[in-house]
Amino acid sequence: MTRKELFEKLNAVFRDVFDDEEITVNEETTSKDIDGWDSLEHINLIMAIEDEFGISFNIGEVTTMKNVGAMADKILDKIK
Amino acid sequence: MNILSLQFIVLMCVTAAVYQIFPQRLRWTVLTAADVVYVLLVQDLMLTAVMAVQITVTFAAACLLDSQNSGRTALQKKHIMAAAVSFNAAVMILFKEINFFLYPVRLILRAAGTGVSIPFIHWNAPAGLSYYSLIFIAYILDVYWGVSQAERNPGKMLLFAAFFPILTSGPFIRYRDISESLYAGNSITYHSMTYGLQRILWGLFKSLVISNRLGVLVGTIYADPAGYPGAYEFLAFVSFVLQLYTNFSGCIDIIIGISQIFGIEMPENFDSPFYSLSISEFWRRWHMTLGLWLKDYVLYPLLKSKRFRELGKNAKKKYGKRWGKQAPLFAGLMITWFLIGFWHGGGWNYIWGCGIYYGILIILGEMCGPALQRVNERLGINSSSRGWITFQRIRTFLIFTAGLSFFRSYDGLICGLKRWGYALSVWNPGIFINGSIFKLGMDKYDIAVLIVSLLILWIIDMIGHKRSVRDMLAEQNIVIRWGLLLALIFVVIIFGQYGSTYNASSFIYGKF
Repeated sequence: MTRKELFEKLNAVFRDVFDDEEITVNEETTSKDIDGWDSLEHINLIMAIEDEFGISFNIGEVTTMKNVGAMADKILDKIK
Repeated sequence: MNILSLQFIVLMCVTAAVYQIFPQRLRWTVLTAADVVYVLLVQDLMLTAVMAVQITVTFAAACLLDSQNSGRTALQKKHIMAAAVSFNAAVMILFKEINFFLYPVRLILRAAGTGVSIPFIHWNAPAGLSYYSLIFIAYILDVYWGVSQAERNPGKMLLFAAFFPILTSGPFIRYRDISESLYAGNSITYHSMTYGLQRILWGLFKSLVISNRLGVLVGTIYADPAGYPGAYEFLAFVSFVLQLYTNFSGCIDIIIGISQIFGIEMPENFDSPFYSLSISEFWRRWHMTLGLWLKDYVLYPLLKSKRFRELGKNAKKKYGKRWGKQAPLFAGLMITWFLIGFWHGGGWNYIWGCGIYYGILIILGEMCGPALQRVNERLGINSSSRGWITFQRIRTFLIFTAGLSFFRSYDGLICGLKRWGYALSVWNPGIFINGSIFKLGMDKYDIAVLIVSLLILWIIDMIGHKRSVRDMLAEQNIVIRWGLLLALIFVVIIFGQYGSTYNASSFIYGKF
C-alpha cells in the first residue's frame, strides 16, 4: 500500500469516527486540528483504524503518536 | 517528615550544597543518597524493607521485559509484566485499602451472628506508597509496551523510584519523561535557583497563608455540623474546596520548585482548574497526573480489551452506532472513576465524593451534551459570550464543591448525607453580615488576610491562565522583580500560620 492510498483510507476512517465528511488529514494533523478529537474519542479512532487495517496497537503506541504522520508510519510498519 | 519541617529543609540545603560541588556525572549519586537518608528518617526498617522489595521487583521485571532482552517469548514477558504489576498493586491495596475488603466480611460475620468481629486495621504504610506504586506500574507497562527502556543501573533506579520530593505528595512521574533531567546532573544556576525558590515561595504562600487559615474555618464547622447548620455548612463546603486546592497545589509547587533547583522538570499537576467550563474539563486541569495515569493505564487498556470491544459491537448491533461507541466508554469511565475514588481511600466518601459522582456527571454530559447545545441554540444563547462562560465556570465550581463535600466527610458517606440535611435545614444567610463568621476560629484580622490573599491568588491564576506569570516577572526590571519577591517573602513570614500551632501533617494529599 502506498502512503497516498493509506491516507485515503485514513480519511474515510476519520470521517466515519468524527461524523464529518469534510475531514482531510495530512502528515502534520494533530488532535488540535479536528473538532471532537479528545482523549475519549482518540481510543475510538484507534480501534476503528485497527479494524480497518486488521492490525493492533499496544497502549504505549496509542499514547505516544504525535500526529497522523506518526500514525501512518506505525500502520505501514505493521501491515508490511 | 513534612516537606515544611526543619529536618526536610536541612536535608534539602545539605543535598544542594554537596550536589553542587560534585562532578556533573556523579551528581545523581548525591540525590540517590538524599533519597536513602529521607526514607530512613521517615520510617522504620520494616517499611523500608517493603519499599526495597517493591523497587527490586520492579527493577528486575523491567530488565527482563526490556526490548533489548530478546531471550524471552511474548507469553513469558506477559507473565512477568502481570506478576510485577499485580505485586505492586497488591502491596498498595494491602497497606492502604484493606478495610474496604474487610467491610463486607464484617457484615457477613455480624449477619451470621458468629460473634466474631474484625477490628478496623490501620497499618503504617511506606512513605509515598500510593504514589510510587502507581509510578512503578506505569514504568513496568511502558517497558513492556516498548515505549520506555529499562533502567539497568540499580543506583539510578533507586533515584527514580524513591525521589524524595515525590514521596510526599506526588505528582505521578514517568520514567521516559523524567529520566533525562533526573540523571543529567545539571548545575544549580542563578536561574534554576531563583525560579525554583519563586515556585517554592508561591507554594508556601498558598499553603501557609491561605490553606491553613481556611483549615481553621473548615475544621470548626465540620467538627460540629449540628451546631453550624444552613449557610455555615455551605461556607464550609466552598472553603474546603479552596483549602484543598491551595494545600495540594501549594505542596506541588514546593515539590516542583525543589526539583527545578536541581534542573529536574516535573510534570504540572494543576492548570487553573477553576477556569473550567465543564466537569470533564475540570478533571483535565485538577490532579492532572493522576488523570493521565488512569487514562493511559486503566481506561485505554479496558476499552481496547476483547470484552469491551464485544460490548461495543453488541450495543452497535442493537442500538446503533452512537451506543456502540458510548456503551463501552461509559462502562470504562465508571470503572476508572471508581478507581480514582478508591485510590484516595477505601471509604465510600472518597469513592463517591472523588469518584463515581463525577463519573456519572461526565457520562450525563456526554449523553446530553448535543441536546443541550441544541437547546442553547434555540434559546439564542451565545456560548462564547463572557456572561455564559462565567455562568459555566461558576456552575462547574459548584458541582465540584458538592462532590467534595462528601470527600471531606471523613466519618463516611452517610455523615456526608446528614451534613447536607443540616445544610438545607435552616435559612440563615444573615451569618455573613451579623458577625457570626468571626466566631469560627478566625478574627477580623485573619479573615481580612484571607480575603486579600484569595484575591491575589485569583489574580495570579487569572494571569497564569493566559501566560506564564514567572516569565512576565522575569521581564521586569530588578527593582520590581525583587520588590515583589521580598514582599511575598514578608507576607509568608508575617501572615503564614506556622510554628507551635501549625499542624505539620496538614498536607492533605500526604496521607493518600
